[in-house]
Amino acid sequence: MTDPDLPADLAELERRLADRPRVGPSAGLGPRVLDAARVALRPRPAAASWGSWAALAAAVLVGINLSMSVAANADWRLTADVEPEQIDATTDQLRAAAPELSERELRRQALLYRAGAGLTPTVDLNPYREPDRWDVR
Amino acid sequence: MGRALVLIESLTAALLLVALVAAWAAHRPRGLARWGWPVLVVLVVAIPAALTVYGLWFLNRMGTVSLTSLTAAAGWTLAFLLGSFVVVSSAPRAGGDPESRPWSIRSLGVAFAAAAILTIITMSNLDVAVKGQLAAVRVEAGARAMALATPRSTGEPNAATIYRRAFAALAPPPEQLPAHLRDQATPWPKHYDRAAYDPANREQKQFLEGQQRGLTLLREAAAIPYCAFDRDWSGDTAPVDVPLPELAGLRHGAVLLAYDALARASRGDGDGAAANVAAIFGLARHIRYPLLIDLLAAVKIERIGAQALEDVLALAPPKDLTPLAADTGEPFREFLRRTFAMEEAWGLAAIVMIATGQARGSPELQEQTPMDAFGEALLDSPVYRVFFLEGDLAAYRRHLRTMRENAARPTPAALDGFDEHEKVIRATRGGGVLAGLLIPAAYKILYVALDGDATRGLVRLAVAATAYKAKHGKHPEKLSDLVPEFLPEVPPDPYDGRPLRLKRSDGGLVLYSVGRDRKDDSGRAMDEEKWEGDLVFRLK
Amino acid sequence: MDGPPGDPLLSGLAAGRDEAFATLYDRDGAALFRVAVALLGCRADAEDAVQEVFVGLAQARASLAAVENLRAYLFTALRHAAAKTAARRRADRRRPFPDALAAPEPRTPSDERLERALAALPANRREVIVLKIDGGLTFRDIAAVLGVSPNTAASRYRYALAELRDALGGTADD
Repeated sequence: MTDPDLPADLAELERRLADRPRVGPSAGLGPRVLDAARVALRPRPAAASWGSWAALAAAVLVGINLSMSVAANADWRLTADVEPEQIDATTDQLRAAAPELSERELRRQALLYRAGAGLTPTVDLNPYREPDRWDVR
Repeated sequence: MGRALVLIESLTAALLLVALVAAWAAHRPRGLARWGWPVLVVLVVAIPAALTVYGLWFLNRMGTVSLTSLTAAAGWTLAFLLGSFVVVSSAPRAGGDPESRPWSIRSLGVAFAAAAILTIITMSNLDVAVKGQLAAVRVEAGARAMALATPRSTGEPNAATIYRRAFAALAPPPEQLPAHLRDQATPWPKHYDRAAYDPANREQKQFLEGQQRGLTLLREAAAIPYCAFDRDWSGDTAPVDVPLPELAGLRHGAVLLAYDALARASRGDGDGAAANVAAIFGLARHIRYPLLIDLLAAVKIERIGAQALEDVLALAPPKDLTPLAADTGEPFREFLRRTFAMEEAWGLAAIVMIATGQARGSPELQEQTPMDAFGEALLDSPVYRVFFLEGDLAAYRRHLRTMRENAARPTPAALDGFDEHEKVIRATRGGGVLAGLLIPAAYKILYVALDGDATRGLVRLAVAATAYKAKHGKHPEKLSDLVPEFLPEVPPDPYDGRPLRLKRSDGGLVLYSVGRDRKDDSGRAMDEEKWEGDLVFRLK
Repeated sequence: MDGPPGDPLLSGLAAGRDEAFATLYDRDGAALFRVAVALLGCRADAEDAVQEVFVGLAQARASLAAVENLRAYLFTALRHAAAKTAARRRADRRRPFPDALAAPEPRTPSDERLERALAALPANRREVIVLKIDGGLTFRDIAAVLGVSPNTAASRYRYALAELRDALGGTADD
């Protein structure tokens, strides 16, 4: 408790301070303090139940909203897609029809053809293709 | 409006996350963990945000992305950093000062979850709105495509059926034959080259004799005004209502007609040769579908016809020139404008397709985007659709409209306009990711169309000059001599708007257009590599 | 003794158990009271301050698990409570000097002088002396309470003592 590095007079002063008479707490302080602490320890009253109902309602609303958003975003892919054999045929024919086009331009045209195919699609009335003199496949 | 809401909600969620981590870390013992965890979270959010801002700044400088996007991203990042600083520095430390109440982790957690879910909901709703409007864009594209497609007729005779029979009768081009049959193919290269023809060569002669039936059918078909290729009879179906295999067939037919004309002219049969040449021009006229490929093929065939005519007129000028004076139909400039319009319709459809993920895995798309799978995912993402698609689509429409407008202007202005526009497109990379992908290389296409119109004009001039010589015994001194008896007017040079030129040389005439370099080189033939010289037609 | 994590007293307090609070009062209640009296000079106010410390402890028990130095925490809370009470008292214009009720019997004149000199010290000097002598805190604890380094706390203590000595007239004894 005492600081060993203190000069003698300060150490003496320190001893005097430590020895001076001091009041102690009254006997009733302890129970009083502990009672007050016990009150503070008690859980909150039932006003919280309204809070939890409100939280539940909020959660339900948010959940409904979320499910509606997700549902509206669902993609059923109902539109017809282009068959891949038709795409290959296109790229080869493009190259045959315009050999002077650069590869980049050919690919760009093929991309456009693929998009255009969905726009004004044609019905393939001849899925069985007889090998033609002109058909190398 | 919706985008601002998403930005605010996401910012709130991010700051709440930082506060949540700060509140959790406040319960850790003193030291690195206490401020280390919140700082880590801040960095995890701030670094990608800062990288995005940098990327957007770079793209904005190129003109690909608008200033608004950049400002929004920069503002978000700045607000996040400031807010995080405030949050982390004012987070109370549990266990230090009994007067300060630490933040409730549960409340912060609930608040963060709510903000995050709200952000997702708003983003999802915005995305749904975009997709709905994309569907409308697709409908618009479809309507445009239908409006531009060549009309069908039911009653008139259709040249297409005869073309089909002709293609079946003719020897196919070499590349279309399986390898073991290649030697049955034409003995000539697949383009027309006068030098390749040798009248003494028996093989060539026999080959041409074998083609006569097909050539007759071609001539017959070329004379019919109406031509529409239908889908249901072709073996190779292109997925779109476009005569693709027929283009190759028509080109090949034109080449064969040219060689046959040369053979006839060599024998002195000028009229027969002229009939072939007229058929070649008829083939070119039948190609009308408004697409780049078709324009290229039509001009190519036109040039084959011009070259064949040049050779025929040199060898055996026909007595009857009427087949050659037939109406040439729509100028290629008009064809070009229709092409741009159709390009736009299909381009819009392509944008819709890519932005809704229907082009995933397609080789055409993968070869075009440097990012491949990641790029495809990015373009199909709600973030791209909600924040960037609008600008991209607008840029695409703007550029194509400019191209159509430029194509409509008179020539010097049109070429300069295309030149300027090309520079702008190159500097801004098209003004958007998809726009950059889909905008055509307009400059080159314009030259093709102008070459086509120049060729047509030169052919008309040549035919008129030949008629003049037949009547007066010598060539005209100047082109105005041909007017009005042989021509209503001297055809204009599409490259500068002035009339086509004439120069006398070696006892003959050189008719020429100034060509792509727009310089009058006095009839010096065009050097294909350097693009110098003029487009010429020689008359003996 | 002051609560590394896992200390049963701290965890008992954090869990809100009555016995933990009782143990804490038995251990530190007297020291808290003595310091409060020395700071405030009035018994009633000191008792109120001690009660406020314990109530605050109960209310903030959720964050107790991370407290490293429970004793320093308590005396910090006491400082706040004492400051609030002093502010209230100034507002009520009560006498700031110790009243007779706080003085125990018997008291020598030298003790009387000592008390008066102590009370006359500036507040920040007085409190470091009071925390050390009446509260029994180590310099480490005092440093945590005052928000300074332990060396600073030690030198402040020494200066305070020196000042008190000077105030008493240079000599330690009467």
